[in-house]
Amino acid sequence: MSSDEQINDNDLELISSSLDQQLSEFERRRLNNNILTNKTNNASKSHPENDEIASVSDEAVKKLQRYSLISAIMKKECGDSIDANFSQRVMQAIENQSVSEELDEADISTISFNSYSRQKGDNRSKRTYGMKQVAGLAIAVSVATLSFLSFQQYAQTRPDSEHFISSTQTNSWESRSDSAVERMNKISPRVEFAPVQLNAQPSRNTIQDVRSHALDHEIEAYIYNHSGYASGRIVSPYSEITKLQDHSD
Amino acid sequence: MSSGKRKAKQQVDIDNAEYFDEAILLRDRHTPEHMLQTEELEVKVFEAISNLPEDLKIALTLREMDGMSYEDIADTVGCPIGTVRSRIFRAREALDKVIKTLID
Repeated sequence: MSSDEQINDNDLELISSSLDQQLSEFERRRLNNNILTNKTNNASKSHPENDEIASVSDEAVKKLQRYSLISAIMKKECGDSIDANFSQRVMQAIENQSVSEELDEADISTISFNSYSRQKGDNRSKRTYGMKQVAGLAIAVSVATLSFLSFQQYAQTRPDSEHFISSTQTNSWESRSDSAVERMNKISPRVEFAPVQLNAQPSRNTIQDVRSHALDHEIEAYIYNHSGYASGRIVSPYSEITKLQDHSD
Repeated sequence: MSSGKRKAKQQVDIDNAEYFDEAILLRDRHTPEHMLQTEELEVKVFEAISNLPEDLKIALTLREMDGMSYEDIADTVGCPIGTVRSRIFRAREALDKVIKTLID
């Protein structure tokens, strides 16, 4: 005789109704006292009649647990179920990703060989390509301008350059003096260049005019030639001819 | 005089607590095996429900899924409360025979 057959259908129906809390007070007391709580009598192993009662109560408890499991399954209370298609979804995602990467590479190659491509999907790549061209052109223009300006500056600031020598040889003395002033002001615009006063009046001592003129020219040439070595931060020499003496005597 | 003896304290490392015999609630039941078993149970139960007679299926579905009381089910179906209780019990018994083979 199996244990299932030891519980009659009325008791099982009471167990089923107790799960739904649809029992009357009498039925609930009967279920607790006669069916489920007989398990406590299992402690007295000396009485063989209690073993049968204990097996009945055990089976009733298992029945109640399985009814509860059925209820939980129907109410979706058994937790998350495993996703058996997980690997297939991963493979599908990998395939989609590889296809999109191949499409991107095809767009880039098309644009590099044909910059005027009329494909609709390559607007962004076209824009990037155009910006790269403009940026390269701007860099080339700026480098060329900078090199041209630096060469010009270098030619102007070099005192022994051919341009400088030719200009000093061709212009008159006054114009040479003016160009020297301008050049020094360019070198050091913060310092006002004080030109050499060429209009100094000699003393009224007896000096021959020819010799005084020659001496004046020598002094002016010396000052002019040495003023070019003055740096921009240093104040250029300021000289004023106040008196000329004749040492030839 | 109390006849019961006090249980000796058993020291369990916190890292091994879930493997302790009495610490059932600490165990992670969301293992792949458990999830597969649950899914199999669900498939079998719903398959069995679909194979139930119509009156048993309606009574059990209204009770478990809609949460209706026996009285409301009786009013809805148009039968006595005792009949509703019997139908629900017979439906559970049919499902119990299915899941008992899987559990045991």
